[in-house]
Amino acid sequence: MRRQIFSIAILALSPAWSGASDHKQEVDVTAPIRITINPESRVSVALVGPLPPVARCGMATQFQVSIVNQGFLTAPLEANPTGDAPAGVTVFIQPDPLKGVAHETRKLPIKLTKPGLTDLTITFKAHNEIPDLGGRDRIHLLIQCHI
Amino acid sequence: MDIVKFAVTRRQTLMFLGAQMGSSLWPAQADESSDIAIQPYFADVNRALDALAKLGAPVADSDAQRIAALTRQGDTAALAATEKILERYTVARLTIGTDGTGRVAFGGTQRLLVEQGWRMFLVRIENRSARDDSVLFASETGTPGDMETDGRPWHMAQRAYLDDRLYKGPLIEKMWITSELYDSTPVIRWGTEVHAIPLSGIPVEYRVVQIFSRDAGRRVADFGLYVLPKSGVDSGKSSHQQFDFECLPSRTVTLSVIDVDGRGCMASFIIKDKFNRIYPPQAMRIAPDMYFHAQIYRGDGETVRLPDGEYNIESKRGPEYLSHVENVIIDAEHTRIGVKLERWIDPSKWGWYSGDTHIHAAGCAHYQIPTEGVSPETMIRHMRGEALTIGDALNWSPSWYYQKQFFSAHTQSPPANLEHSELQQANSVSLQPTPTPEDSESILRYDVEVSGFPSSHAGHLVLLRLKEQDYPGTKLIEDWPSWNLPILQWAKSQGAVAGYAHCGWGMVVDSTDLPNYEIPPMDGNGTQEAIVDVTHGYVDFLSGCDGLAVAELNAWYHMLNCGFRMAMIGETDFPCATGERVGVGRSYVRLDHRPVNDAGYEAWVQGLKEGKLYCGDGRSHFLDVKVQGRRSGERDVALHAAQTVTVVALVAARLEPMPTPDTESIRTSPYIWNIEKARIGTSREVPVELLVNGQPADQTTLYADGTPRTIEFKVPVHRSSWVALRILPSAHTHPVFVTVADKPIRASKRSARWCRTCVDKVWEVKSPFMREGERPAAAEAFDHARNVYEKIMAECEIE
Repeated sequence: MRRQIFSIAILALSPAWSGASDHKQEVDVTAPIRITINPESRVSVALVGPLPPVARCGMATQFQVSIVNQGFLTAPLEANPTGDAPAGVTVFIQPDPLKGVAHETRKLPIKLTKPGLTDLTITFKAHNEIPDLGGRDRIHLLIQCHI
Repeated sequence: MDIVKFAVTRRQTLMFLGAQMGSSLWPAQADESSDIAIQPYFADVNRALDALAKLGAPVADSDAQRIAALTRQGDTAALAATEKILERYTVARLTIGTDGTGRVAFGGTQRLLVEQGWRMFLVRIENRSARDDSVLFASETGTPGDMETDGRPWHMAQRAYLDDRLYKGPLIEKMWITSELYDSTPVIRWGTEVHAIPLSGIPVEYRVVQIFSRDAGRRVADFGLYVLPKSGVDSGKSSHQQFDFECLPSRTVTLSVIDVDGRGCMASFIIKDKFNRIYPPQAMRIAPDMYFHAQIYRGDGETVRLPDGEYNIESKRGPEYLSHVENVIIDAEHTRIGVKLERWIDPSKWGWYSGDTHIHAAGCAHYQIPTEGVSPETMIRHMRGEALTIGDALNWSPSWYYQKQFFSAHTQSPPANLEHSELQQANSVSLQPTPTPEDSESILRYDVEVSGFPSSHAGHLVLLRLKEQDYPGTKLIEDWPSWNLPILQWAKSQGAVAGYAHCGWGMVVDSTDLPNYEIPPMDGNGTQEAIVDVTHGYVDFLSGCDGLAVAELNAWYHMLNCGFRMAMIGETDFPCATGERVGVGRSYVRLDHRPVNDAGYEAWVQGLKEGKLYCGDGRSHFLDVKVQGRRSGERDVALHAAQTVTVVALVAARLEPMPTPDTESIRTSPYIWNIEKARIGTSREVPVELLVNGQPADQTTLYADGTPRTIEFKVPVHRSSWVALRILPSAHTHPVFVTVADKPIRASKRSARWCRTCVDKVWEVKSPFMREGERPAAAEAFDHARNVYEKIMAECEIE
């Protein structure tokens, strides 16, 4: 069984090391949030595109996140509201570990429960890794939901 | 950090002059706060305040506290009160009309600039109609960098234009000011990239503008506001306002930096005015001053430019020195600051010399523009300012092809000259590097960290004392092996000392016990393949002190329990794990003489390899440790049979006398070793633990006032063991090895089983990243490791 898992993993991940120079071709350019994990596993994030239309209050809006992984990191990625997070906001990111490949895409569902403009700061880091220096690990979203 | 580059030419400016409007026609509307959503408003305000603080120009503490309270209050009254406070920091009020017309009015702050310095102000943007344009607000005085001729970008051939032939002196004389909007976004307008602020859509938001003055005295400048519609078709509308400024003069202030023995030396200085603003401003520092540092490094006789005023000068020189804060006045009569440094400990008196084997001159927090990282002349300045004897600047994937030029397979201790003097001159730096008598006491060597390479998934290698830095047959990083053992074999074949960096990464488990037996996820770039490579005899050290202590030490303890002898050394991974300074994590190696030149470095690195060291944060020191009279790195203590051994140690540590808000913030940070995390309650004591085979065997408390004190333990040794001392997480000795009846150390079957299981885990997680052609050899090497650990397991007498 373990051998089968290995085989699948090898098939999926073999090009990882060789893809280091091909990140530009592989990045999902439609994703509004782009995360870069540098060789020392520091996580930085940027808003690079228009945000999706917001959902109804109480429903999650799916934000696409493209991840450029230069550190072969296979730890889970964490996303958390930072500072005085507004009440009724839920941020969730897939808890399963990153694959370590040069590029992958994740969904970041954000759920608001109260109508009206909400200014949300979300900080990203890899599980058990040291956060980025200089505040490059966070984005600000100004979003609102509809009743 | 994004920095605005205002690249609008004068011709382009003239195209929009027709829309110029006087600001005085639009009075401020601060009281219209009822339609402003509270939460986004305060989130934005607090970001602006964070930006000011980050740029070294925080608002007054009382105002920050008041706004924090108003943020919690979170109602319309709080918003109005906040507006009143922020008005005192606001230089301009920009209003965006419903049709996109912009207006500029004065804010309520004093328009004070400083000669050769940057000042930071808030800009208030009122956008009642929720437009989603971008805005550009900047001084319209050109800068020397803008003196390009129209049309040049559209011509391929080199050709002189009329403007090029003109004498530029009179133009340059007028270029006294430049400004930048902080945290802007590039937008293409007028065929070029300009850095603008995208409006968020909320009615009122704040941004930070940084304004630099070249001159002193009263000066006037035009500022323009350009509203750039999102569509990109319309060129937008503009408005202009003339601002007058009082520019305070600065002076060249000379620093006298005297070490405890009366010699001049280099030290670290944090210079703040009474508003807590940092000098020189961090925002526009170029090497040797780092934008991500509050401190600068200056040697005896060197200078800094400061306007007249009152300053707090904090001087220090690494963890072996006391920090000293002095209040000084700078004016015509006072242009010299004298600093007499004070040490609390000098480990070299006991033969210990410090080193940081993991610093980077490029990548992570370093800038890539104007140069790809910094030069040896800058790195050596920082080392000297932290009293670091040895520094290994490791070339790695970021800027690899640029920084490789500094590798020579030799040590260097260059003058701390300014790199790229033309850039310094452009930045009007007055610093004239001055040698000090202690310069030769810091040695820099360039070596390699295998990070960002094909094998880096299996852990990052630190290769010290290399003769060659390119793996045989490679031209590009991508050509290197996709697992580590071949690289270690190549490095060791040329006499290198090699090990694994930031060894705790990927090794974190839920347990905080030490040792513990949980299998780590191996999902990072730390110890991982070391557990295999050590069985092949190619791992000299694990490198830590820059992460979680339990994660760093656990694998080391287990491998020591299996009889492998490698060192735990201290590193900073500057400026990646931390950008605070070099030498945050360090190793102290015992030598007969102060290491100088290549021979001194050789001896120091050899001492690392042989275990004549302790590692830590430089705030705790194991000055002399003997087990049955034998020090680490010397011959084993050989016992014929089990017996009680005597451990005698001279130990010094220093805590601040009482916990402070600063020390408490250190205690709550999980990463990086620091003695504050060892403080027992609110006392000034730390625990010193005696370890036998990784298990605490005894403990005493040490009063951490900096005074060296002798401690003694007696501990029974039943079988071949390793014995060490630690003050966790501040310092750890290398073991003294004790053999009983000439048997190898086989201290724990559980440790051997842990290592054996880890081999499988490393293979499971890391082998998919190996090239197919290299995987059979790797599989063989992993099988060898499995067999070795199984054999050790069978040889262990106890569980």
